[in-house]
Amino acid sequence: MTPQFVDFNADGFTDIVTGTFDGSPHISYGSEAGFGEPTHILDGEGNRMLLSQFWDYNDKSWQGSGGQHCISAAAFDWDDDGDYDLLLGDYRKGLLYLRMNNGTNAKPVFDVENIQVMLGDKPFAVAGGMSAPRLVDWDGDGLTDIVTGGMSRGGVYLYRNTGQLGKPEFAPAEPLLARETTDPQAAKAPSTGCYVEAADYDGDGDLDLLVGGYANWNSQRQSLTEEQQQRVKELQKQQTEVTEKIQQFSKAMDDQLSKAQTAEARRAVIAEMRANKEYKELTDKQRAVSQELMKFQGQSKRAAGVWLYIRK
Amino acid sequence: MTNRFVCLIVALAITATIAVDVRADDAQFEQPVEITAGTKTFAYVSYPSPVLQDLNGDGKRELVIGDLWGRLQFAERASVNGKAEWEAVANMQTAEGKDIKFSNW
Repeated sequence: MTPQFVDFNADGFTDIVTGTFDGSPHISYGSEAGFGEPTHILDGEGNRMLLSQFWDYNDKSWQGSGGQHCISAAAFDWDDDGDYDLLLGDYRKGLLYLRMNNGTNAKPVFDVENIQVMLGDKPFAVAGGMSAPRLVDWDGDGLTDIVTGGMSRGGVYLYRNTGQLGKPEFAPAEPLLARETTDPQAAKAPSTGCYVEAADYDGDGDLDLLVGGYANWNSQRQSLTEEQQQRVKELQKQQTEVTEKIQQFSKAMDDQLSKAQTAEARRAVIAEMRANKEYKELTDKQRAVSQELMKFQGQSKRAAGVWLYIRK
Repeated sequence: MTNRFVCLIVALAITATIAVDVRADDAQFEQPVEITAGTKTFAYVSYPSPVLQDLNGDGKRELVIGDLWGRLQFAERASVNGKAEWEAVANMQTAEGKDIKFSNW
């Protein structure tokens, strides 16, 4: 969740606009006393704006929004008519949508439909998904550009506004930071889930980057002898085989669970599987193989943090 | 906490547009340095999202961190031996003194 500090309702006090994992834009209105209790930003018909999907346990499938899920929102006067419109960012496909404000800042009337933001004739899409769009005039040409970070693939990207005031057009992504490769030794830089702030951190007149996200690394990775490499292959084969067998057990359990009418019946199904001798041998085998593999391959680790990139 | 957000003015809310003359293809950055606030990194935060914002109108920007759960923390800027550092974080609060929490589900 990226907060945007902006006087959204033009009352002279800074508000907080943001999107969250619930798929909708939110606001906390500022006042002389401080910030108010957060609430949803509603469309012109008084309804919650929603761009989300959810797992339907009955149908066992994702539902809603064609696989898109809004987790970010940013106020931006798209058409330069003096009021804030809303950008809604999708984290899964990295798409960007616009809700035009047909009212004013004090009395907004947002469209009831999302307008997809395009890059030429193709949808604006951040490869690997988008964290949140940040609005900044990166190149000092008077037009607001978009800087954003990638989710599953990391990286930080600039989408330069090559249009006009009130008619934004965005050029294809220019990487400001390439995705960090996984460091074998330690958490040195974010490589996934990158949320970015572009700001002059050190006061030298240019824009630096603050990037929140996850560093991913692998502990104890080592060079392997040929014999060890052969052993790793054997273990990986065993791991695949045992995993497939466990999945067969899991599928059988799922089938039984779906037929179980009561919680007690469901608990009995689970208990029966756990007591199954073959299942227990498989899970023990899986654990032993994983531990031996870890000795050769190291252990994947992940840690959150915020990193500063000072511009040279 | 309430007093911290009194008299927030529009002039201090300009986060949307910062004018500098650079191009992405020219942009080069130093090696990343992990930020700490007080003595802690942000390893405990789920999907930390940093924003610099002058919350209390003193002309200095605080470091605000959003997270997956819809919470906001902030840290005051401090100077240690001339180097910018951050004080330990505190939760951002509403005018009523409750921690700000945007619904995330």
